[in-house]
Amino acid sequence: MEGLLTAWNVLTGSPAIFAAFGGVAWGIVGGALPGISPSIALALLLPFTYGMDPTTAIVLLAATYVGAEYGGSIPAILINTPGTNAAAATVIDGYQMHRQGKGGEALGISLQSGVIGGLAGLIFLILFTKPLASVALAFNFPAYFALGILGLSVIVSLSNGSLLKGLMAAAVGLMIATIGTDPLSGVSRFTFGEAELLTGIPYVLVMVGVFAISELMMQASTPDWGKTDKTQTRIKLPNFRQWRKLWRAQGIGSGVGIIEGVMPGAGGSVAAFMSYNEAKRWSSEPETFGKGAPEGVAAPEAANNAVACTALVPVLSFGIPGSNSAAILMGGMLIHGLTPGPMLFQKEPDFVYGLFAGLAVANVALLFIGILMMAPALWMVNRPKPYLMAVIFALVFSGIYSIHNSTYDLYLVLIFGLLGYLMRAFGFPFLPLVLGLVLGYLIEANYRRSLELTAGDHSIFLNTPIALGLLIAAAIFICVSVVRDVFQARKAARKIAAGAAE
Amino acid sequence: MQGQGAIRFQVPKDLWIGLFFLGLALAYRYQAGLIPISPLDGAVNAAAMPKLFAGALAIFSVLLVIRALAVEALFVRAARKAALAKAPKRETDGIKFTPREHLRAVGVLLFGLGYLILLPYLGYVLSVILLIAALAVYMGTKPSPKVLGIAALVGVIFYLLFVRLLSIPLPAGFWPGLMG
Repeated sequence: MEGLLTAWNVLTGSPAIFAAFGGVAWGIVGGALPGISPSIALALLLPFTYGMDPTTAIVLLAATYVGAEYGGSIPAILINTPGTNAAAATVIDGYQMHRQGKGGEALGISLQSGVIGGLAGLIFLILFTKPLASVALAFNFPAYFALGILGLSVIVSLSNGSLLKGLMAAAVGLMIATIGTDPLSGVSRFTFGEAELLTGIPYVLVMVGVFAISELMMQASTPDWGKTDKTQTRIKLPNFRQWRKLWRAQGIGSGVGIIEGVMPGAGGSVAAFMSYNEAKRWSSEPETFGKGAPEGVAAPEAANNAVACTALVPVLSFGIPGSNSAAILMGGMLIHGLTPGPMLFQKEPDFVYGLFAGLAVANVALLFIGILMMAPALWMVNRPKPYLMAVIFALVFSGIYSIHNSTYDLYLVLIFGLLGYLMRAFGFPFLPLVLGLVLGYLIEANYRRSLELTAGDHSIFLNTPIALGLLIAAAIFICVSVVRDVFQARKAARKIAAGAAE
Repeated sequence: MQGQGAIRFQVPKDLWIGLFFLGLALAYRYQAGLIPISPLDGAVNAAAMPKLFAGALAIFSVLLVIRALAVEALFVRAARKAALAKAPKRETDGIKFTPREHLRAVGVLLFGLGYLILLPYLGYVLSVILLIAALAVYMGTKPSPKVLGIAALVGVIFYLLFVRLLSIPLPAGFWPGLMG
């Protein structure tokens, strides 16, 4: 009850409610543009949140995530091109429905399912974050260090690409985090006499460079996406009779999305495809899947919007993000002086309940804004790609300059853009790098504070049961990944031999 | 055994990546050694963690090199064992762009650099108009007065948004000097 009152006060006493509307609107447009994933839509917005109060800023980012997950389904249904990775599952039946003249219905199912999935995820977030955070309150310095290591190991193990490249990306992220003045002793590290580096490298520069600039570089060599005609694009929400056929798929999507959102490294795409398969398995008409089945749109759309809410569970309760978008959201919190983790509920209850309220508004508003933003989103998708990319590039540069009124930041963004592009080119996953960056301080500070207690004796990590358990879990994750890597290499060799035998 | 001559051991891309990161780890380790000791340092000084990270990166880099060589060896052995006349295409991580496409992508950064060089002289509005127009053409639009018109329109909107609405002091360039 107290939480409800706090949430109400925050919503009515700050611009957070407008941020929720604005975030959903921007998210829909950003998600609808192929190539602009939810994480890029968030990264593009990050520089503009600097002048905002923390709750408004994070509600804006979280609402963008909600909107982007739905926005991704618009080009998936209308032009057979997913706007986001998670919308790839929606393409299968959504585009078929559009070809059969049911594009408006598919969009309506996507929107309704997104709202249902989002609200289900939000209920889980509200109910389970605080109990999980109270578990984390038992953590001391060694346990926090071990938690950071476990978070990195899990992400590295579950990220796409090879384990070693994930580990290397994480190490580079941790290294970037050490640039600047050491917060514990005041000594400057890796600044090379540059005054601008004394405060460290702001997260926003790395995130915008690695996610947004590298994507714009990619777009220079990829063909323009298809354009849609403006017929069949009026959203038709399902009526009660139609909805009765969809509730099972929406329930499956919401359930899978809730679970996958909480699990690190899984994210919206895994949830969308898993829920699609499960919806097909439990459907009374599985043979219609792939041929324009409404349930094939409902399940993945409910799943990816549920993920947008439950991805916040590990961030708010443990301070460990499980996906790119969650890492950017966590970066946003750190930028605004909020330390994600169990203490957040005690130190910043207004923020936490304000965020919950903002997300509730965003998920409900999605239903109306989704209908309103249809025309602007389609207008944007139909613009020539070169103009869009050039304008986004200029917007990124203007936004980054406005943070510190400095061109130095822009040079850094270009450097991180090149780094992001090289990572894409050579198959390095982004998430371990970003996670290494945002967890760098947590890991280093707690490692050093732990050793202060024992005058440098590392046995403290073995003598603390929680730390020992978490470190063993981290080691198990890495070992399993090593075995998986070896098996994959052997499988590839066998494939060659089998190919020759045919 | 007919194809053995055609299937040769190729130096894998990951070997060069591993060596690059090994060099980075060594350079970072060297710089970590130069971090001064502070009287505020406790049991663990400010250089300890960076040294650990450098060590970890060096180990991962060496393992990547070993892995790359082992995978290539497995690949060649499997291909030879299968008596293939021609080695099948090796699977590599990352985006599959041609060198020309990679160069095009890197070219985008040059527009950013050009913008940064021009910004103090031409000021924000003119620089951003040129950036948008030039980048749109580079991305595939045909050069025409329309491109410049759209760029000018967006440039003015950005000016109103950032300078007028958000009060960001973006560089004015030489224009104020001209106006006295």
